[in-house]
Formats: sequence, structure tokens, C-alpha cells
Amino acid sequence: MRLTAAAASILGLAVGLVLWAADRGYCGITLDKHLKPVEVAGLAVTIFIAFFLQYFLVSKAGETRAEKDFLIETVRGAIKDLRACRDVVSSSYGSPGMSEPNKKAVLGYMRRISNELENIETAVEASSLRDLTPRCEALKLLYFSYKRSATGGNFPSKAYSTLQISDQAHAFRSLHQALQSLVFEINAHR
Amino acid sequence: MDLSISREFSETPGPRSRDEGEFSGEQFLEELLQPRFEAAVRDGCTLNIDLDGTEGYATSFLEAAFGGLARKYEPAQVLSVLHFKCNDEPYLIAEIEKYIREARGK
Repeated sequence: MRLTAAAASILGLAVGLVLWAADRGYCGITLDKHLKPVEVAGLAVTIFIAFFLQYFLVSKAGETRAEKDFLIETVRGAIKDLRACRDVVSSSYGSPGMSEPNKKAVLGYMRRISNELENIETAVEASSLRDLTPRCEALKLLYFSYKRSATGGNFPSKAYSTLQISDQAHAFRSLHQALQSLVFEINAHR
Repeated sequence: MDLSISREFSETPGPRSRDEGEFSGEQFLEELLQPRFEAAVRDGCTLNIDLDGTEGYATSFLEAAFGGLARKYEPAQVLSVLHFKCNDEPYLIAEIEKYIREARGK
């Protein structure tokens, strides 16, 4: 702001100096003192546009960027927990069942992901990107599919079958992809 | 009529069936959920189920308990009698309602 004010002052001073020199006829500069309304109107419009761009559009772009950054941060949190959950689940492959600590970890991650998805939905609805709200409903359904694939069946007492492992991989990929796509959509949103 | 899973059953809900381990969905259904549900129906009141305060619920537990109840009684009746409270996990209620609605397909 200080820089803008200083620059504006210097510019104003320079313009004032040129106009004074033109009025006196110094340095070969002359001033046509007949006012042409069309040219004055054009000048006013140019000044208006310059201020409009500076103070309205730039500040609005800044606000939207802040919203996007916040939403992307929230989605990234869900992606991180989803990957961590997948790692714990897959660490039990080949074992007769899931250990108690791993079971606790998986259920804990599922709860975190659920909370993160709800936070994403709330934040999107409150932001200027609220037209992305239907994507949040889709995320919820993909989350249910993943939770069912990982904690359904005979969880945690028996080993996952080959079919269950395949279902988990598919459900994880779908949810992971949907979250990543949401990040890109948020970033590209106008 | 109220039922708190963490206080009256377990803070660590377990697997699907009794033979798989402690605090199973089957055990919860037989010992608590079904008797309370029947009492609520008899008394013409709702059964308020508090889901908070546990370490989390596996799908296997939820499906065995609530899906199991909906296989014994009409899903519409189960949904009208049961009211859920859950602050710990926002989507848990929607998840349980889904298992109740889909129970008869299993």
C-alpha cells in the first residue's frame, strides 16, 4: 500500500511537472487548452478501470485463492489419512486376522476420514465454490464403499479373501482418485 | 427410551458374530438392541441410540447389529423407532441407515 501511494505521488508529481512545462511552453512541449469532452471522458474511464482492476479484481482474486488453498489443504488431509489407512489394512494381508492395535488404527483412520470429508462438504458449501457440493455427496458414497470393503465381512477376526483384497484396491483407488480430482477442480475453479 | 453403546455394551465394539470374538454385533443385537427395540415398540416410543464414546465401529459390527435387526423386523419400522446420536463420526448415522435399508437383500 505504501509503495502504491509513493508511486502514485511520484506519478502525480511528474504529470504535474509536465503540465506546468507545457503551459509555459518549456522544452518544446505545448498544451492544447481546448477541452475535448470525448477525450476527457476517455481519460476518466481509463483511470476508473485502472483503480477497478487494482482494488477490486486483484483483492477478489486474492480472497478466492485463500479459499481454494484452505479447501485443498483439507482435501490433502483426507488423502493422507486414506493412504495411511490403506497401508495398515494391507499390512495385515497374509495374516490370519487383524491385530487389535491395527484394528484400532483402521477404525481411527476411518473416523478421521469421515470427519475430514464432512469438513470438506461444510467448507465447500460455505465458499464461493459451492457448485462443487455434489462432488462431496459422491465422496461420501465412495467412503462407504471403502469402509465396507476394509471393515466388512469378518473383520477383524479373519484374513481377507482374495476377492476382498481386490474390492479394497478398487474402492481405495476410486476414493483416492475422486479426492485428487477434487483438488484439481478446486484449483482450476473460476 | 435410551441406549448408550459405550456405557451399556462396550467402548470397543468387536466383530460380526459371537464365534469371532467379544462384543460382537450379534451379541449386541441379541442382548441389548433387540430387547430394547421390542420394549420401545410395546411402549410406543422411540429408542435413542447414542453411538459416541467408542473406538469406532466396523462395518461388520454395524451390519450384524442393525442389519440383523432389520432382517427380523421391517426396515421401515426399524428406521421409524430408532433415533441415532453421533458427534464422533458424522457419516455413521447415514451408514447405519443404509445397512438397515439394504438388510433384506442379504
